[in-house]
Amino acid sequence: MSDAQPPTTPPAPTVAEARGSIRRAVLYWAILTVVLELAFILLAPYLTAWQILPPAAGDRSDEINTVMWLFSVLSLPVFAMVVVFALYSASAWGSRARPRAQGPAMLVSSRFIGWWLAISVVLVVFLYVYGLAFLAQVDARPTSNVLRVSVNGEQWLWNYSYPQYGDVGGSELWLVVNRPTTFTITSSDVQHSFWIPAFDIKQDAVPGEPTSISVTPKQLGDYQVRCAELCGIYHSYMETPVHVVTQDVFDAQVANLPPAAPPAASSLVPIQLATSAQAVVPRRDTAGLAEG
Amino acid sequence: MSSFAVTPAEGEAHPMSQDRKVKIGMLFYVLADAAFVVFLLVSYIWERAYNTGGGWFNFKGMALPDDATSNLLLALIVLSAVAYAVAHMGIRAGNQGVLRVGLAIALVLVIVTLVWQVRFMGQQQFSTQDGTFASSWIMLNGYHVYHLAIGIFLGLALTIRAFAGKYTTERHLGLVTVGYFWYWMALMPVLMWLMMLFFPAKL
Amino acid sequence: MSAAHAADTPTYNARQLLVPSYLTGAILGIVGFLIGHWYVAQYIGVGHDEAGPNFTEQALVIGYILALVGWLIGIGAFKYPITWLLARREPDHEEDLRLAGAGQGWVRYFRFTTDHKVVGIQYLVLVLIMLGLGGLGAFLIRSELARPGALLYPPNTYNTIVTMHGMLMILATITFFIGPFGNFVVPIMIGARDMAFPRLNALSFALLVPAVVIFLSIPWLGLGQSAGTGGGLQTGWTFYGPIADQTGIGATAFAFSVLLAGTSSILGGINVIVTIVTMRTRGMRWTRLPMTVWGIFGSALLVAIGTSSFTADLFLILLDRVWNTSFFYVATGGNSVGQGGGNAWLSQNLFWFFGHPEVYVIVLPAFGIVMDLIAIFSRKPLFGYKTGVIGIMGVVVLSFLVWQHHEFVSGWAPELRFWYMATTELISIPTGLVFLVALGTIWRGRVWLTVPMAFAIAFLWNFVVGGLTGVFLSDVPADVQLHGGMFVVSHFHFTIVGGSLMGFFAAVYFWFPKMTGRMMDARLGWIHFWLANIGFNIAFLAIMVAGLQGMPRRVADYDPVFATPNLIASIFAYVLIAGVAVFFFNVVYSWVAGEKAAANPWGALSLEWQVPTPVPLENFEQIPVVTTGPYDYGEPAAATPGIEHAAGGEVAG
Repeated sequence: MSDAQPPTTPPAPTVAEARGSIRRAVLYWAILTVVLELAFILLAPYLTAWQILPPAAGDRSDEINTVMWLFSVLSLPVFAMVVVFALYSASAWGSRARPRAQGPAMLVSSRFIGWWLAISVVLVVFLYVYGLAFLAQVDARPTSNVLRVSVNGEQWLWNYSYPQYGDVGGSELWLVVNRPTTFTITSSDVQHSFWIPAFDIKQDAVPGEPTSISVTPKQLGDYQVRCAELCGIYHSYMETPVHVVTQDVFDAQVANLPPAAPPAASSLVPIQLATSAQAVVPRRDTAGLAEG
Repeated sequence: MSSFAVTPAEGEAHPMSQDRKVKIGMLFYVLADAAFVVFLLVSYIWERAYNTGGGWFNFKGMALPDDATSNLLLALIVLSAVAYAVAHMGIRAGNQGVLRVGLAIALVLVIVTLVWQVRFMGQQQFSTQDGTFASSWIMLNGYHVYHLAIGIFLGLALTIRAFAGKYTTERHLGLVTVGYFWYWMALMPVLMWLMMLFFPAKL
Repeated sequence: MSAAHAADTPTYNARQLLVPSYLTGAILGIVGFLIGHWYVAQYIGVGHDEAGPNFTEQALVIGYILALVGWLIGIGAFKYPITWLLARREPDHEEDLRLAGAGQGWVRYFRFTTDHKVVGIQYLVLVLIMLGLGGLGAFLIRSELARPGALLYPPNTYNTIVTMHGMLMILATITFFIGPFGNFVVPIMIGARDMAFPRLNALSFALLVPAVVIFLSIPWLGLGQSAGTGGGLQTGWTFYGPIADQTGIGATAFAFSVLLAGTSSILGGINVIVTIVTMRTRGMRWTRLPMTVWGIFGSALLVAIGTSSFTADLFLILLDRVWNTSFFYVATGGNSVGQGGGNAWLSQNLFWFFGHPEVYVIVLPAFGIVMDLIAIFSRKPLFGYKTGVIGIMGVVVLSFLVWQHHEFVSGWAPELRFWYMATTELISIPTGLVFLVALGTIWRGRVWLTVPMAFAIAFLWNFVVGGLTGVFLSDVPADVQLHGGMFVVSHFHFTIVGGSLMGFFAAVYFWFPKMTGRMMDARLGWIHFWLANIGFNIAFLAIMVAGLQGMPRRVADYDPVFATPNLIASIFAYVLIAGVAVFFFNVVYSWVAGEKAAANPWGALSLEWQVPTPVPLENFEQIPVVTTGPYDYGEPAAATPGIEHAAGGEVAG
């Protein structure tokens, strides 16, 4: 009834032709997979040096990088399969002209679906179990020689204090290299998220509900704490340094710190925002503000 | 080659009846409303369970809502649902009198409940700003009042239509579908009552 | 009977066309707003101690409510409920046709018109406007982020743009399949004369209009106040508890308008569900529905059931802001009013219980449409009909079980993470089935490379990237690093822009001839396709790199270490935006001056292509009886190893 199917029908492809095209597509798939995998595996070790990954400075950074490495390796064949089979079909049988014939009426067999499902399930179970193995580490809390740090998020800075050292503190974080550290995190106004990309840790600061996370810094150096939850006007400037130092330097530093101010009972003012008196001066490019 | 065959159907009626359409639509409306209420109930339980910063009661020493009045209001709305059910059974038995009286009673009971409920809420010694219990209690009762207001509109329409003789034993679709809403309107305070039983205001 | 109507098309004079119409609705809406605002100022606000600091909020909300009532009265939405209440005569078929816009010309697009095709066009235009404005937001965002430093606007303006871009795009994408295509195409596809509830259908669109108007007023609210206290939204589209309570007056408008849009979606979703369940014509079995209908059906189920939790969240935030409750105010006695004791996690949970299914609301119709288009343009039956349906419905079920993965680092219920990690990864299995069907269908097809087909293929490779990056985020240890960063931004743009938006483009190019009677220009279409896909892929790969580097989301300014990927992303985002601009030009140009379309330009088999273009008022002269499926393409003789072959005329399932 429609003009779509003119009665002329070119001969259908034979079984041999069908086998040929599937062989070629699988070959392209294999080639693309190998190329992508090789490129990725060869380049992966340099990602940190090129600053595409943050410095792996925490005790679990390496493992998390391994997880992401493995996921990438497993993802590439899947990606290649979709691209190759779609583009192969489009290029081998595609035309800008209206088709004058129809394709073969292929229906998937239940055996095919069975294999497809089996492979997906195996992949998912593997990823799950692999992730589960590392999940325990995220939740692990060290017990001996622990440095305890109380973190309080406030619009728009982080306040730290060290309960083991008489609650002294400030707005810069000092940590001891190779000493397990447990952060207890809370907030006095809205939600923030305490993120140290170099240590691969992140934990939300929720007002009224303390949360915690642990890490052991492995490299001396200066890193950044960033806020990862939109928390108001100066969210993007809620960034303070982390100094990872030796125990001696740390002791000397802590001795000089003033007692931490008790966290404000609340600075959540309804509707009207608090004046930005507490706001950090934008950390860089104040000149840029003027220019812009 | 096969193509999509389009041959005219005999007659014009849709294969599915109008009744089924309206019933399913109303059912989904009630489901969506019920889901909304479930989340509001969850927020009561949640705030109570966490009691962040001791904020559940921010109104130390003030009286909680009076149980006797709450139970009476609950009884009124349940009675209204019963009256509605009787009216429905009346029309199914072909008795217009029972239908009219039942609907009128159901409507009057809802109006009484609404007025009393609003007065009851106004009598409380706490206001919305006195902690999360006060917030949740007023919010849930407020939503119930909104239901009652919708119920009055629907009940009024049904009563007018019943007195106009619009319903027969065979055709009383409006009565059936509004019934879904009506029973749900009565069920929500029952759920609230049960929740207060298992998660009482006092911690 | 339908043939008779053409003869006696009703005629109208100008007054009948204008009253009621959207014009009277707008007038009464403005009057209602002014009355509400004035009333609050007069009797509640001035000179009363209990007015509290949020009296402005109260005036705004009462104003909005009365504006809504005025709008609905003005467009005539209350006419039928009132006649029903008063037990008046039931409207006859003649009146129904008048309400459906018979003989009203173009004016029917500006009235409370029940015809599903009119509503579909109204939705299409509104959605395109929303997409355009959201795209403008994207342009402004990428301009600011092109280089480090505060380049163009102060941070609060930037946050407002981010929030509005996010929510506007979400509202547009939630609507852009169910609205235009769910309304215009689905009833014809299933052989119905209209939606199940035509008046409710017109009402859901009529509710979306004020929602969008209120939403677009946000930047003007609180102007003239200082940066800290005034307009603007500092929340992001997630609109979490305490920050939404704290931020400026714009948040009240946001909560109200999104609440309204949510209500509109729920009503629209219910209508679509009931239409598909009850209005299928004779012979249109569940196994003969085109995949588009299945996708929109799954999406409508999610909307009808899931949206409630988001509206509940917005409702509570509105109460916090307007009537001083303390669901999300946390610190006790923390302010002059004395609110306190709320819990921030409640907001997150209510939000994400809807927020995650919402993503599938956007993508499920795209699944259906892509499978449909691939079958049509490959001239082959679907590789597996039941498999595709199981894929879609599997996603529907699983999508309600995964929301906690948005809270892996929130500190809420960390002991549940192992379970949500499992459900999240499981969702890749039904999605994989959809890909199996799509790839199996295109394989060895007589592929007709039209613009819609190209977008359907682009959907496949873009969405698979979105899915694979999702695997990283579903894994708790990796998520602890990637959460809240630009990696997430890249991931969901691959699913929503690369996936759903490409599906939407495909759908527009595909059904435009049926909806407007004109073909879209293919040359412009190809320019659009290449610019959009190249721009999109490179821009969001660059953003993915920024995320791996450790750049947080929603920042107005960033560390210079992230400068390179951001510059690349901005440049290629401009390419993407240029492509979309070509699309908009193409829509306008083709609508006005495009080539006239035949009734079935693509040679498709589903019902909507068997009716004439433009589609007559009641779609079918006579309701059809369906005897075969929509995918009865194909030549049974050809053999492929491992693959079963359909006998002619039979479809799987």
